[in-house]
Amino acid sequence: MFNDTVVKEIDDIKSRYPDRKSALLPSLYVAQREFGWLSSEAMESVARALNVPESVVRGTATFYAMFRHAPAGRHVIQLCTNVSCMILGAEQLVDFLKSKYGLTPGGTTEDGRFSLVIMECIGACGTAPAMLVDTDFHDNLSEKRIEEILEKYK
Amino acid sequence: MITLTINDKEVSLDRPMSVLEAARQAGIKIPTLCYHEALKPYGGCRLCVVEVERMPKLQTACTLTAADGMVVRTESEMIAKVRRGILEFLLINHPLDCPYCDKAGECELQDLVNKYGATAGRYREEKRKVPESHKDHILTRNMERCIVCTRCVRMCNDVQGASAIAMMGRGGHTRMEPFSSASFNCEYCGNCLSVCPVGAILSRLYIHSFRPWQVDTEVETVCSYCGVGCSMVVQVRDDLIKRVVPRMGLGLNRGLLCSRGRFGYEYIHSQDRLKTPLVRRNGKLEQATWSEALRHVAERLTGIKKADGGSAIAGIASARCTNEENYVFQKFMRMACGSNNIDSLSRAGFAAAQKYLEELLGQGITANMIEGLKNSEVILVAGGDPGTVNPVLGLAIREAFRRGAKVAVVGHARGLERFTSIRLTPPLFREEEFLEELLAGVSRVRGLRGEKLDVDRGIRAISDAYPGISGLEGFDELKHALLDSPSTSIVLGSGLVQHSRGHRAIFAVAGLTYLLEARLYLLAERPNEQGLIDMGCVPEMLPGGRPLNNHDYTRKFEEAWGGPIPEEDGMTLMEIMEGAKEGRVRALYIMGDNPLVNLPGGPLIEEALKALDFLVVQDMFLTETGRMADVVLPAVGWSEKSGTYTNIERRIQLLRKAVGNSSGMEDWKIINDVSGMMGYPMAYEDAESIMDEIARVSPLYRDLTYREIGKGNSLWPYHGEPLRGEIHELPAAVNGTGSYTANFYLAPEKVLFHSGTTSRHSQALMRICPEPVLRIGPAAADTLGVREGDRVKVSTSSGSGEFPLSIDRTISDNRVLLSNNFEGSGVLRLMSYRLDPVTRAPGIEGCEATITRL
Amino acid sequence: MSVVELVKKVLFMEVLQGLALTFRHMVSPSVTRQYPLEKREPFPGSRGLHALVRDAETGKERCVGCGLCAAMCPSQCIHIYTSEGDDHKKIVDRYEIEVLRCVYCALCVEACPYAALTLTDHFEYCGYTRDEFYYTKERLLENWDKYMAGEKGMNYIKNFWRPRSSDFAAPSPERKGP
Repeated sequence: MFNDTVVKEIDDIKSRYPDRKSALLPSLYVAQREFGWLSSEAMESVARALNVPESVVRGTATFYAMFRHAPAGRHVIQLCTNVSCMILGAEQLVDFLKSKYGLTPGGTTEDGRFSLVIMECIGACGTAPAMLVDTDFHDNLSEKRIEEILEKYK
Repeated sequence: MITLTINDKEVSLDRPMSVLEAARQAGIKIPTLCYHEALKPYGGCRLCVVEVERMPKLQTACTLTAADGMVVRTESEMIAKVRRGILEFLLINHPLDCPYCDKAGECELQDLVNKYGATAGRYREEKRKVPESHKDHILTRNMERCIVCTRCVRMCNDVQGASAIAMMGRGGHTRMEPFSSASFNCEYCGNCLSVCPVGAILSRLYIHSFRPWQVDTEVETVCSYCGVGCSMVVQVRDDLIKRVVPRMGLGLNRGLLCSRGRFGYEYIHSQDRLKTPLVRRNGKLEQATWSEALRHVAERLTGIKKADGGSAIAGIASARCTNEENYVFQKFMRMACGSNNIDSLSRAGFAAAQKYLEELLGQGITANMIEGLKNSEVILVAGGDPGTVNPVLGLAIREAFRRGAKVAVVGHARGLERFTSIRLTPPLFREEEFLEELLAGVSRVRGLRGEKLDVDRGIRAISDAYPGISGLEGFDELKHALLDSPSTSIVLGSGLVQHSRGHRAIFAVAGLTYLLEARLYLLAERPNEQGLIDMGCVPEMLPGGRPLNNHDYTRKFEEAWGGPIPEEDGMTLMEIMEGAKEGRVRALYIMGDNPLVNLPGGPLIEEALKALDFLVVQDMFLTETGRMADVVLPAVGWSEKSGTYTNIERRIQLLRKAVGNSSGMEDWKIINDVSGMMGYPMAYEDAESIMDEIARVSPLYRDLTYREIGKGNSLWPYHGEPLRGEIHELPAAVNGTGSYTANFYLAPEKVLFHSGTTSRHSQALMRICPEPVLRIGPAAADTLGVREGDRVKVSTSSGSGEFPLSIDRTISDNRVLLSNNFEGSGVLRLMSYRLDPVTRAPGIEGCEATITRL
Repeated sequence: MSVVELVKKVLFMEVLQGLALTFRHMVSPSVTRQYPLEKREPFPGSRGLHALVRDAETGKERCVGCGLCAAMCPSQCIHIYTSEGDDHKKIVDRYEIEVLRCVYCALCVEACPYAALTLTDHFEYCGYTRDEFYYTKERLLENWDKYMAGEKGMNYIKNFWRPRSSDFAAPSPERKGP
């Protein structure tokens, strides 16, 4: 269940839209932030908070790629492997993450520290390869740089 | 007037509609998959593409509104190519297991591919593999076959309102899933099943057992479960009912059914059906031949009539039987047995309310079309849950709510939980005071109408006694909504009638109906509760609602029936039972009912039945009451007989025979034979000849024939003369209220999946809902310290029972609900009753219960 | 009557011609077969008694009970009853052919999507009661074993009918159920 601040936040989101269903996506973001992933409980909480049927919440949540339906690590790495990044070695970086941290695409490290998601272009082709760690943006990646960056995320 | 050209044909439309509908109206077929007439257009499948002049690209006909002067072509080389392509894409993942799939033969995709598709696919890769889901008791999901037309989901969300399924995932991996993921856990209306164009959702009831073209006969008939009277088609193979399907546009339900109607037909072929008559010899029920049994009944009844007069015999008719059977039954009781002691179990609800309402407001006050609910601005629901008692009527309320109508619910109505605009929770069992308060408030503003002086007088008395304001949340909102509403409907359920002050609630509802000129609907649990009253199965009325104490009316019947109608006043239901206990009633003839379970005051009823000299029970099954009988006669059920039912709209509908392999006899025929042996021959040939007689003798049914009823439009007041201006002097209202301070009160629950004797012999319904569950509010559960699924013991002054417990969030007060539909564990047996002085209905309010955890 | 005709008549020419034919056939080899002592190989693809194909892999019938044969049958002599098995698969409870009503058009064989039914080249069957010609599923499978076992059966189907099975693929055990 949501705590009071979250309920208030969702109420605030609700007030921004003419129709409760429109508030669904932002509310799901909030739920994902609060629970780390969208568990049945999280989706039920959203359904109850917005008073929309649970089936609608589930249908929407499973449609979008940005919602997680399994527990993720504390930090989520989203690495681009689209054309520019690929040319500049993003695929070697995927291998590096695997050998160094044991991270496979879609997987989580054993200590629950990182999850890796392969994503499509994040609009940083000029400074490729690029990735997001949680919501922070990092570009001009190399194996060494990744190591340095990930040091900061415990 | 919009005129457009479709395929060189001029089409004129009288109302705005889509190009697709316009084409269908003109008889031009456009292929569709995601379009369904019961649903809103979706434009997902793209098969209905058409060419429109001056539009550069192909347009989907289902979403394109027809405009004046449009020139549309529905077939061309281009369109054919597009359709072929779309179908080829659909077949990428749709398996070619048609020989195996039960849908083949009525599969829309199969038909379309046959007509428009390519003969061979070019796709060579693996198809999507999804295991078929068998987790549910009723529905099988095969998501390999799903073509994501979303018809099921739209049906569930937009029409049924259950919102129990959703489209999960996206792209090629989209699949329909019930959100509880294991079983469907929904209302099991099965409407998703009937809109699925392919074999992705199938019913477990008949899976793999036949192919659509192997059906021998299809019979259009009426559902036997509740008073709505949905039309349905029964499909039969080898004299076995294979399935029951609705047909779009047929009947008042327009293609929708509920769980009972759709899945509850198996009782007809139940192994537990009575096979031969049973006669009690040396204290034991033994098998007997028909002639033995019938002669025995006739001899005993004649003996008792000779010894103690006709009034020592009483009859209980049934709302499960047809109009014809009830007519023959009351004629038999009055003429052959010479007794006016005829009543039915409907007295404990529908009949009590209906008779009082008619006395107040005139015959036909509840004869309103269910369709009218959809157009109402304000709907007041009191005393019952339309969503479970009359599910298809509940759908009309849900539709009105979605359209923006205000739905006000007094008390507890689980089926309308998400469809309530104003929720009112007056103190438990004191709802009648709330309704009187509301009536007072409304009459203050609206004034009296001055048409019916007696009713006006009653309303004035109430408005003098109440301030017309209430601190109850929602009261003012409801009052103003009612006063401002241009069209109001009031739905009254039996919950308020089964109350020792029930007549006050009924009067308040009648007053509101009268002042607001509202449409009034009475919920009916059984299929023919209205017909039962109309056919004269009440002590004081003859068929057509003609009062017995008026010689102008009785003379006509006496002429037609060839003898005098007994003059002695008859007894009502509970009086019959009390009379039996005291020995005034010596013989009881029960047609198609089970008073031992379906009436409150179990110990008294049992004592009464034991005290009888002679008890005859006619039923399909050996019921609890049947086990106490001296003679049990096997009857036939719905779909094994013809006849008519009168639904809550007072629409008379035809029940047609579909199968005929049981060894029972029609109820009317049994009585026909017994009556002949008792020296009052009736000699009916079939049900139709009975209806012909009814049409002859009763002015209400003048000129009514099966031919006309079969068209489905036999609406009130038919061609007949309704009775008007029969207002009796207002009964003195019983003042004062009870005090209700106990921790828990037991009340009967109406279960969506059951209705009693017949439903408990339907395997599918028993699988959905196998046992009675005690429902309790979350607050009450906390005080008791019980959890979902715990077994508890419920004790009342009349007895006790053990049940699993379920916590129901929709219950907000200290009532505990228990259903009455299971063998040997009826809630009503645990309750005692007090008669309402006006309606003579047994009041069961305020049944104190103690709950202990086991 | 001309002279030639008169001569022919006097010399019984027509009778002699007829006798010549008779004598010629008296010495030519006989074409009559002494059935049942002498039997002839049936022509390939001849249509005799029905059989249900026994699947070599599973040892059971290939039929899934789709009912197309019964739907196609002009004399309506095929009766099929199916139900749901324990593992939710469709099972064919009864597959019955009233052989006496059959007209041997073999439309059933052509309709079968899985090549599960065939006519065999066995044409000699007789009996004393009608019941003997009411072939149940078990008897029809026996017919396959008796008359079509081995390569013979499938070749027979492939050569003389275009089985629609190529469109649906054979019902291997996994294909048969979901």
